[in-house]
Amino acid sequence: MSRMPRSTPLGRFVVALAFVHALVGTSAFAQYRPPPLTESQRLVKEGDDAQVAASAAITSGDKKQAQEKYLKALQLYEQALSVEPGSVPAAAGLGTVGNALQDFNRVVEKLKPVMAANPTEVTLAYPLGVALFKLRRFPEAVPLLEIVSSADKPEHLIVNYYLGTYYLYEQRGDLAIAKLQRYLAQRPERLAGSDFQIHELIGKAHLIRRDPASARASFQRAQAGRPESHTLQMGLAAVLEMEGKTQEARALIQGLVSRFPQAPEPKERLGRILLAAGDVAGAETQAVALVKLGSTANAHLLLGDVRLAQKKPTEAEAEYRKVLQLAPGHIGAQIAVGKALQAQGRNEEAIRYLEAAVQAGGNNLDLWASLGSVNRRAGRFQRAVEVHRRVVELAPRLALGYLLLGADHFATGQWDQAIEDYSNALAAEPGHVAASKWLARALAHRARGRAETNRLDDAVRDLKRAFDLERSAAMARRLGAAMLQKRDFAGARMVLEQAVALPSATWREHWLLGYALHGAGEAQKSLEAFEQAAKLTEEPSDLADVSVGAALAEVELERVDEAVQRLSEPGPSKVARELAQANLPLLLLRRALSRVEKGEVEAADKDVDLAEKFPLSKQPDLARLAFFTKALVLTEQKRFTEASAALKRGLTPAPRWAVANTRALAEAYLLYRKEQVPQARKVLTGASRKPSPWQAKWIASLAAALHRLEGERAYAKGHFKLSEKAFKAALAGDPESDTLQHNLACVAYRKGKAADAVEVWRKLEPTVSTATLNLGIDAQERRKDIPEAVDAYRRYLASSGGPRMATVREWRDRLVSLYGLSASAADETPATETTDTETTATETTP
Amino acid sequence: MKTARLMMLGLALVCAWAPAAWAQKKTTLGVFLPTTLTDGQERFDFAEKLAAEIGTAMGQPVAAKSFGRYEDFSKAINDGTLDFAVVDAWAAVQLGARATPLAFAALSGETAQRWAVISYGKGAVKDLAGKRLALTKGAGPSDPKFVSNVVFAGDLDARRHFKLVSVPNVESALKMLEAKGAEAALVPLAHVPKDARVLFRSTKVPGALLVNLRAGSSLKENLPKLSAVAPFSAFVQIQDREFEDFRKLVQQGPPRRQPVIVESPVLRADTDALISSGDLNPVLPNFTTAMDVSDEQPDE
Repeated sequence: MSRMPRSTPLGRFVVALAFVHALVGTSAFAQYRPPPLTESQRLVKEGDDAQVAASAAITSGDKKQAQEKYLKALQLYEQALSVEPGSVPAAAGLGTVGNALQDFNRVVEKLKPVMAANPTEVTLAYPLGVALFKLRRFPEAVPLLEIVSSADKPEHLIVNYYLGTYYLYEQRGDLAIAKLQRYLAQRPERLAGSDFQIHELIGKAHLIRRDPASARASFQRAQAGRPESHTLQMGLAAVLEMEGKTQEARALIQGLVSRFPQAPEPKERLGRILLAAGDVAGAETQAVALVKLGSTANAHLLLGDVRLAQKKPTEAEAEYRKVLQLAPGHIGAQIAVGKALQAQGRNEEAIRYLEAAVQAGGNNLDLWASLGSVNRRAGRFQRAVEVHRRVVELAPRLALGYLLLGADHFATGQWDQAIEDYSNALAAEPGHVAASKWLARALAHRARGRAETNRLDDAVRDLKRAFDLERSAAMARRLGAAMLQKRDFAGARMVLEQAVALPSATWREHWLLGYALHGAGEAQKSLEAFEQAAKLTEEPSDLADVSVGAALAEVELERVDEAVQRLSEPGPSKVARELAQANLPLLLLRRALSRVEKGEVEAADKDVDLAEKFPLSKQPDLARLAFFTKALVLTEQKRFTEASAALKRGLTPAPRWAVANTRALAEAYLLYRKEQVPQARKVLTGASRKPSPWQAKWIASLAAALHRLEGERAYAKGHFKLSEKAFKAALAGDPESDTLQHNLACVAYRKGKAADAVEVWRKLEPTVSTATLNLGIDAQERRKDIPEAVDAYRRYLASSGGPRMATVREWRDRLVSLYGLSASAADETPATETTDTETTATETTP
Repeated sequence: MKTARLMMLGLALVCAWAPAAWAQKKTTLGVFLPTTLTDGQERFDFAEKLAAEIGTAMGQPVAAKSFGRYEDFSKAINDGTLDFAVVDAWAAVQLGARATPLAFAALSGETAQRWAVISYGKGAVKDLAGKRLALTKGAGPSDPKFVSNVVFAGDLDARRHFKLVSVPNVESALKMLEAKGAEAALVPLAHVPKDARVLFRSTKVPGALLVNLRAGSSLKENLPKLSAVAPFSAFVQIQDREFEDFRKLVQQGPPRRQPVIVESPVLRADTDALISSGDLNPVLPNFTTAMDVSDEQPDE
């Protein structure tokens, strides 16, 4: 095999170089050449050149040439796009030039497809977003502008301004402030002179946020170092209004009207303030002056509103139509025309007008809203609801649509739906003032209906929610009233105590509080509440209502006579009269029962007679109570046969106020008073099988009283065995009773156990005065110890009181006289003529 | 013969006169008031005037007889002479069933009077043990009972304590006391001399009575027509067992005192136990009327 001839090193290097060159040299050098432009690129380049020329023409002030150059550029970009429809540079250039020429529709038309293919492309999003924004197609514009804003490029800082103003328009204060702050952060120093405008906008955004302090700070920052600006001062006036300083705000605006006579805004604002305050004449002055200042849309709109307030809907309509001439499609004016037409009774025309406006205005919310409302006012509730549902569909995140639906349902009394609508409104915009107000009112309406159909729990629930939304005295009054109707006195008291502390409280809240306190057992406070209510009204029928309540409180305070007097003169209120009629016999009977308990029988009898003079036929339970009370009175008067008859009538059929054993207990008591002890005991035993806890004590007392009575009667008849048995039975229930021990000693004495008895009496002397008397009797009769007897009689007379005093005094005096015992210093009185007249010879035994 | 004829004539005259005499027998009022009235003439005048009044009231003549001694009075009753009488109550008791009490004769409106043990000497009643007590005489054995049971109310036995001296009337008792024929006297309090000492004063004892002594008398019915005759102010009809109780007291004395028990107070009805007071609540207003809501409508 032959070997290849060996080359020299230099030769080998040259060969290698030639080889490398042959392999790569040509093509590598070719990449560094500008690539050949495509047709589209060429056109774009030419377009860019034309655009630069246009800019230069603008800079030199040659608008005509600038226009021509822009148009040329536009043409070139369009051609480029037609050659390469997806070309981003062509689309971007077209957008920029189109916007410069304000040919926004073209921009939108040409850029949208390219943008769709490049959704994150900022160079496209910027011109397309601006064009859409200029066309007021905000829902489409804003997402694009947000893309641009997020890219945070200084050359696109204007989008932050756009977004800031847009969010202001949408009343989204926080977002507006964020965008405007970003604008301020990005703007070049040369634009700093216009910062005051941005601060003014930020101030407005703070007003939307209802942050008056921040708003004031922004307005003041905008105003600092600059001549007084009426727009800024207007902002400060809005701050004052938000702070509730209405008078100061009004004064400030009035000052602006004087200092800036040619500025329309202060006049317009003052006119609005006066109109809202009901000063229609003042508003008219401002509106007329405003129109004179310049026939602007706002001026005519204000004047139209003034005319409408003056009930001059025809003139108002004319003004609104002038607005539309000046600002065709002005939403507010179109809505106002609808209102003015409706105010003239031209409902159908108003509806047609707004229908047309809606058609022409696309999906303008305000027009839809107004159309629905006009339908509602015309009584076309179904159509109103349909239209307002459309508003909800268009702006589901706004409270507006729900508010309108709520108003429609409110107008037809469909409280459930209205409540749902307003709840939705609040869900969309928490804290919305109008939604809260009308939700509370709708709940109050529904609660009233529920209360009237006895759904009190539901009514109370509604009103609790309503009171949470509206902390007014009137709402508290409704809630308190529902609770009172439910007889939840403690709950009503709590609510009504809040109500009377509120500044808008009237006599009615105090009046209801009186009943709540009465029901809660606070009689004195109840009376005070009624007295307070009486101080807050001069209306005779109101005073009569209050007086009836006060009477009930007085009854609880044992001031029954005053109560009866009040109820006897119920005044001009029909309700008060009916209540008095219903309550007076009951109160009389309650007083009679109370008097029976105290043994004031004659007074009780009179009360029953008075009660029976009322027509009780409609109140059978009360009629039976009258019989029952009469039975107790007759029992006290020992007219037992009549008492039995009255008892029967009072308890047949069993009234609501009677318990299962009322009849048996009453009969047992009657028999006790007749001194028919065995019969009484038998009936009482039957009645006591299942006593209620509150009866147990009295039943035990009656049982003990029967034992005592039996013992006393048996003792009087000399039946000592029975007497002893009865007293012992009574003692078993009351082992500490001194009187029973004493009486048992008496029985023992009569049974021959005199010494035992004397011992007991001596022990009981400090507590039972009769024991002393018996010691005297024992001394005189058994032991014939006259001095000791006299001494005992003296002690008895000094310590006691009662029916035996005269007799014992006679005994003592006779013994003192017959046996020459000197009168003791302890004697309470010597024998006198006074005592002599009290007894006769036959009355010598106590 | 002549004598016989004269006797026949006399018999005939007697027979002719007797029915007329019987037919003309006057209704007679007896007055025995030895302790109530102190003067014999006063008793006589009273008897005459009262008889006239009764006569007027009954529409028939009434004769009056005034008695100074119980024996005479009692005898007249037994004889059937008297139809009715005004008599001291203690004496009426001694008449027993023969007298039916009709009315008390009230003195200054009082139907009862107090009695007093009086003396001119020192000491108390207990110091007069064994001393003489001048006492107006009635039936005799019954007299001490009146003193012991009524005047002393059983607290002192007069017969044991005193030596009782009977006198016909109050004036005799006072005279005897004055003459020291007795150390003490029992007289109605109204007749106690100013200078005498009252040792003991009784409770009130019924005074004079108008009694019926004959069945079928119409005096009771005519009682309301009877005018008062001085010194009495009125006749007050006796109620129920008023005199019977007095009679029993005189005869048997007061009952023995016995220990007295403490009577429990009457248990009053407790309405809380009888009535479900929760169902006696007053009628309250319809509070739903206070739930009114204004007519204000939303106008969004």
